[in-house]
Amino acid sequence: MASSTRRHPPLRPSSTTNRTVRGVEKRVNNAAVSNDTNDDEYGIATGKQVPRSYLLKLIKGSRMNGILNLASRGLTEGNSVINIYISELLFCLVPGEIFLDEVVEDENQQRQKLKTPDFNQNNTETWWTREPLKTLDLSSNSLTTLPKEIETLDYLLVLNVCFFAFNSYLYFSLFRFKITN
Amino acid sequence: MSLPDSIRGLRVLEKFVLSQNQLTTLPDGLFYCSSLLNLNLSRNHLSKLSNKIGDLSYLQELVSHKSYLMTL
Repeated sequence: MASSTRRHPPLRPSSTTNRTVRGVEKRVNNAAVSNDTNDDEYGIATGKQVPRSYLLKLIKGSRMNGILNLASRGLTEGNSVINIYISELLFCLVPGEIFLDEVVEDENQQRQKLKTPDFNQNNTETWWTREPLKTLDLSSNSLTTLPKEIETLDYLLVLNVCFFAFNSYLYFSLFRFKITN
Repeated sequence: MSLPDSIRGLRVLEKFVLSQNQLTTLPDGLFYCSSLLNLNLSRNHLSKLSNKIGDLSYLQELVSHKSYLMTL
């Protein structure tokens, strides 16, 4: 595992993110953790299409652990999900005023020049505690392609697009098979 | 399904599950995902595997059952 850590792109020089990123990697590995609390609402068996608001909720949850599980959510176009995620990412995860203004080679110099973010905010979800997306599960949906913007998910370690052209007949056959056994 | 060539940008991707997709060929971009450790191609309609699979030098596990591979 040490070698793969080495191959990751350099992390941002901001102190706290580096530490949290490493800490969470362990959790990512041992978990098929679903990041949503009410799975039943748009559950696997229903195949019901998920409304945008619910997607946003799942995306928000994924910022805590870097895992976005959208398996069997009745998704019909990949673009919307990933584009929603990416637009959120561009606006929130990397606030322009902090990272884009200064491009300095020396880390120490950069630290001095950075504008100080307001650490006194009481929000539980703040940009510096967010996890980049590391696991994306889009399996068993009615999707035909991935958007080209997928490349902007720089930290993605696991991508599951199994059974993309989801065939409901086959699924329910399997479902029955599971029950009878 | 089809995959965009931009997946080549996923440079730290370690696990890619592409099973059950009726893929007949693999996009070139896939072979640039140089950190891949685990690639699952099972239940597709691939007839051969590109030589470029060799570019995935860290690959540890390649799953390709029922993928109609005739030659390697």
